[in-house]
Amino acid sequence: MSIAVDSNAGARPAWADEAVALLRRLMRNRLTAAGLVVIGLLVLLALLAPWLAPADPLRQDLARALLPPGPGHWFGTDEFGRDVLSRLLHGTRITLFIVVLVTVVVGPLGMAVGVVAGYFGGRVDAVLMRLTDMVLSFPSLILALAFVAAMGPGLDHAVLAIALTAWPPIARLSRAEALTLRQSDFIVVAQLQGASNTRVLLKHLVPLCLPSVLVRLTMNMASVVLTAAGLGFLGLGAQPPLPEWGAMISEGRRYMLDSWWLVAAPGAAILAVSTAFNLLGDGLNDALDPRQNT
Amino acid sequence: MTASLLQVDQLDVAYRGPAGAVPVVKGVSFTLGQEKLAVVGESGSGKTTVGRALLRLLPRHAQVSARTLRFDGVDLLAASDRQMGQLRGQRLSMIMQDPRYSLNPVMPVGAQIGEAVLRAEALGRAACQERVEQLLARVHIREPGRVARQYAHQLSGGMGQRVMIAMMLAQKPRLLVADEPTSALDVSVRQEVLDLLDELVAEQGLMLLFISHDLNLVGRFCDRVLVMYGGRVVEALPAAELAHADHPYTRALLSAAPSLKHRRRTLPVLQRDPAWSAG
Amino acid sequence: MTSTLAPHVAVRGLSLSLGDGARRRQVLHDVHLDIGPGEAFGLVGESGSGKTTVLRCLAGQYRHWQGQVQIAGQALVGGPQGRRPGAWWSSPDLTLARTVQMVHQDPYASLHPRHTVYTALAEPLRVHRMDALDARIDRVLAQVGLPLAFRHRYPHQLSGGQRQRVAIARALILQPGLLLLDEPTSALDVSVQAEVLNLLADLRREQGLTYLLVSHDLGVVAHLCDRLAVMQQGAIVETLSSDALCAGAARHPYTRTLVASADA
Repeated sequence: MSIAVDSNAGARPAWADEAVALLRRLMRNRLTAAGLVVIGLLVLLALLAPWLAPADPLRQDLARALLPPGPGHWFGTDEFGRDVLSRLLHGTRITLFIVVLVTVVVGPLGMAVGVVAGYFGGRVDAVLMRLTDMVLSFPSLILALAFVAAMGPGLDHAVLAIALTAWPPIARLSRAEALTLRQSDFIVVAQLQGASNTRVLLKHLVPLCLPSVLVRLTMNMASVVLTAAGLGFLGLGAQPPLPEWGAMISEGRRYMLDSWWLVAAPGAAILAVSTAFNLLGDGLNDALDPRQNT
Repeated sequence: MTASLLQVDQLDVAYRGPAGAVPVVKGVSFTLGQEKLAVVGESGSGKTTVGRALLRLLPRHAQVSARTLRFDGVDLLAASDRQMGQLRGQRLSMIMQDPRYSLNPVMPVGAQIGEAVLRAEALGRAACQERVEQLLARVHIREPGRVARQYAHQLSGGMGQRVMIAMMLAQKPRLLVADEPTSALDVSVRQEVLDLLDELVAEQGLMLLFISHDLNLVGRFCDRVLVMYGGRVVEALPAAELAHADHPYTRALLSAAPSLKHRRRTLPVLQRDPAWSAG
Repeated sequence: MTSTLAPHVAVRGLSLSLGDGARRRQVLHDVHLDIGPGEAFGLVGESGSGKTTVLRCLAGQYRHWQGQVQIAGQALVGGPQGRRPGAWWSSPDLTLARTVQMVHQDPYASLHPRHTVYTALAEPLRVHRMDALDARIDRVLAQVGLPLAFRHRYPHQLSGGQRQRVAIARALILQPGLLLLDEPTSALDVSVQAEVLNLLADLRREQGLTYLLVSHDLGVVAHLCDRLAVMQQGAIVETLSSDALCAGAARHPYTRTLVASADA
């Protein structure tokens, strides 16, 4: 063969091409596209909140307490006269913080446990899976409550608590994938070539488990938002005066009957974000799975 | 009397995709009487698509069109879904390559044959059971009662294929499309299944469309051969004349397989001509 | 570039049972094999004959066999002390990897779907900390007749025959002396099979490789191999040269049945 010039040199890296193709596939489904747009909006609002918010979310003005939505305060004010819209916007940062932190902990932890258990089998599998079963058998909110009770209330502790209880489904999923994949010919080849177990796991197995884990994580984000809101509602998550959406609902509960906007606004935000994550996860599932294995 | 006839004239099948329609079968024409007709080609030749198009078993994004597609006087293209549902199984039937994948893994095979029997005629449980065992005996399975109680994974490849044939026979079809029925079987078992198909063609007047990638096999087994490449029929000839085939692709296929009788140091390599699948 | 080590393979009394308790069955009975350096040896049999199992034992996938196996004078250790790949305590045998490599049957399953051709070929080089990655990869791609532009393709962008060539390139890149071939062409179209068989024959001549080829297709084995053994239900029933086979000199009735079915 005398081909000397490689026409692919300097082209976009292969994974960038794939990312673009994936994005295109995602946008084809209207619902998924809607979910993607909402989440994009969430990120944008979180980044620009200090500049977009019309007022300081923490500034109290008791003379203007419990004003209904109208010009000046598009979502009204709460019992301390704080602008609800501004609090909502700053709350996006907190929501995003929670979601990202939990995902960053749960993803790698769950995958590590799962692929190691699935690949090695035997006693390693048994020990890891029993551990997973133990954590899985607790209802997540109750376990999170217990963690927070032990560590004290606060946003960071709430996030940690949620993360520590959310990893078992990811572990189960990764293990299932690893079990199927470990028999594959290309894994056998890697072993035959002398690759160490760590290399086989990280370079060969994990990239293949990633898509289904990503889908699961995305759908998990919806329940993370809800659990965080639940903890906030119970007063165990973000502490006042932080404008976390669940805490806002909790505080607004007392005035709910007359000042519906105190509960409706953060509630609608939670609904929108959870649904968006669910739709995105669903779309990701379709976009990633069938094409991937041709 | 016009014997049952399958008439196919200018059959086209294309798959609708994001980038437009991809033609998979182009202008295929043939007739099938009471004989064994082989459709031979490699992967991507469109041979399996032709078989499935006859039974209208293609996915929704497939566009099927033809000047004529008639079976026994029925226009297959214009038939409604209900009409096709009645035709399939009862007059047109199909067996596929790997019985492990075409048999239901969680039902005993006898029950599956029973389902096919009951579609053809309403019978009581005992009568149905008897018919099932009759069919199993017809395909030369010894101990039909015991085999009827087994599950698909407990059967060998050859037995599985015979169970498929028994299921197909339950409704006494006129035309059988066999899609690579022996490719997944061991060489020593293949001949038994082929002999069985031979018997059925002779005794029951079954019309057989035999789809395969193995030109040498169909040359020995079938009456006529259609060679497909890139969606087109490049050559149609009686099996007996295969050795004198005209088309370079046919000749290349015949000589590409390593043979015990004609040993060569280097196997002849096919030079693909794009003109074969165009025009 | 010829390999420096052309292994001699000696198998004595290889036996293996699989399953436990009531489901235990013996899949290999007392298999004896001798493969000379630079020889192409075929194992023929139908499904369940145990031919692939022999290959797997030599590749180290099964370790709990009885008997003796020697590759290039180095004894493979069987039994429970033998190293099993994929066990958490096992460390890989790098020397064996430079001696024996394998080409699998299914071209659609033997390449990692998320690795480009370049990554797949570079992987063994990286594991063995070899240098001059690009040069070695280019050379091996040329040997199997694939254009360099294929380096950045993914498996799903390749045809079956092209994938099999990549698998062969990957097996050769460490320059092993022994190649284990598990039905390398049975999943390919007959015209593509011819190309791959020609390639395998050429490579063996050029590089002095030793082949152990497993197939159910007598024609393929007779074409590529000098000698072959016929297996039935876990035991070798006959060993003969392919010349003898084609001349009709097979003696065992099972061999004769196989010849008859192949040639009918």
